[in-house]
Amino acid sequence: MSISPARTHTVVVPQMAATRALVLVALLSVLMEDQELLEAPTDADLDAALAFEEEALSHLDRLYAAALRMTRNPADAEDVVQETYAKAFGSRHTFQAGTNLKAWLYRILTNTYINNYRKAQRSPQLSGDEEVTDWQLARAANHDSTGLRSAEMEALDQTPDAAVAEAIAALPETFRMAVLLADVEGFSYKEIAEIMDTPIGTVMSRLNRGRAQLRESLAEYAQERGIGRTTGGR
Amino acid sequence: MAEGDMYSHEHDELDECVQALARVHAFLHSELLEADADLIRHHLHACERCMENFEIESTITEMIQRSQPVSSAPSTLTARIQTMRITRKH
Repeated sequence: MSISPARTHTVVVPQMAATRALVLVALLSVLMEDQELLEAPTDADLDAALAFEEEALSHLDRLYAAALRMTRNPADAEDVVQETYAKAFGSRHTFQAGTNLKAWLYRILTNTYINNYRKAQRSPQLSGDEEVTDWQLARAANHDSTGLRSAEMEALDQTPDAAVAEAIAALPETFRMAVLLADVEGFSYKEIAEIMDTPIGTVMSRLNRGRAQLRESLAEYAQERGIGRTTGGR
Repeated sequence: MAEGDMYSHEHDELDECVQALARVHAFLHSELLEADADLIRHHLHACERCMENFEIESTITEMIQRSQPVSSAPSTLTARIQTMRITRKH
């Protein structure tokens, strides 16, 4: 066990905010190493820790991309991710082997972001999670003629990715997170419920409402630019 | 009599459309039980409007995915996280 705690302290951290997290990690790893020295870790323990860390690191790019979407700022994204890994490495023993490590990491990431970074920009956007009412659905089912929908499809085909990204960024935060976790990260509703710490019903309503708002704002985008309205004569 | 039948038929169809709309995202995300998913599939084949709605929602899913490319973590971040490992190699 030639791990030297001293080396941990000499690491140069370019970001101020990251320093605190690193000091915490350094302390933590000193504590854990002491314990390991006392308990003389078996090869199996080390192998398990190694496998855990390797697997956790395999999700780094995705976690960074997700953090970037949350914070919309590379420096903050780096801090959130670094803190996430500090917590993950430090609480490896609370992870249940055989369960979904990716979801576990996303949960830490989401909590870290909500607790440390969202306070600063707490938005008035925390709208309620009420269900989409039946009459709204009934109206939607009744309203649109087939022609309108093919016009909508045509408009979508001409909508650039950047406009979609902007519309997603403009969604209320809980809606945006649910949509990204489901549609981009491919998590199941059950996993999203665990990551966001809400009942599944809330996940579903956030998804439905987030997607409905997104569709609406894409329609507005098309309307403002006169996209997809060439169907009249044909 | 005929008129009454027609009304109730239309009402049932509207109910099916409402169900298909309400569950389109769960259907897209493969979150429905197989039997429920079959009901939606059956309805989509029978109802052009709901099929078009499904295609729009499915297109929007693809657009969301396309609009969110995976950006790699900066190498400096990767290096910092490597130093935090308990098991880092020497």
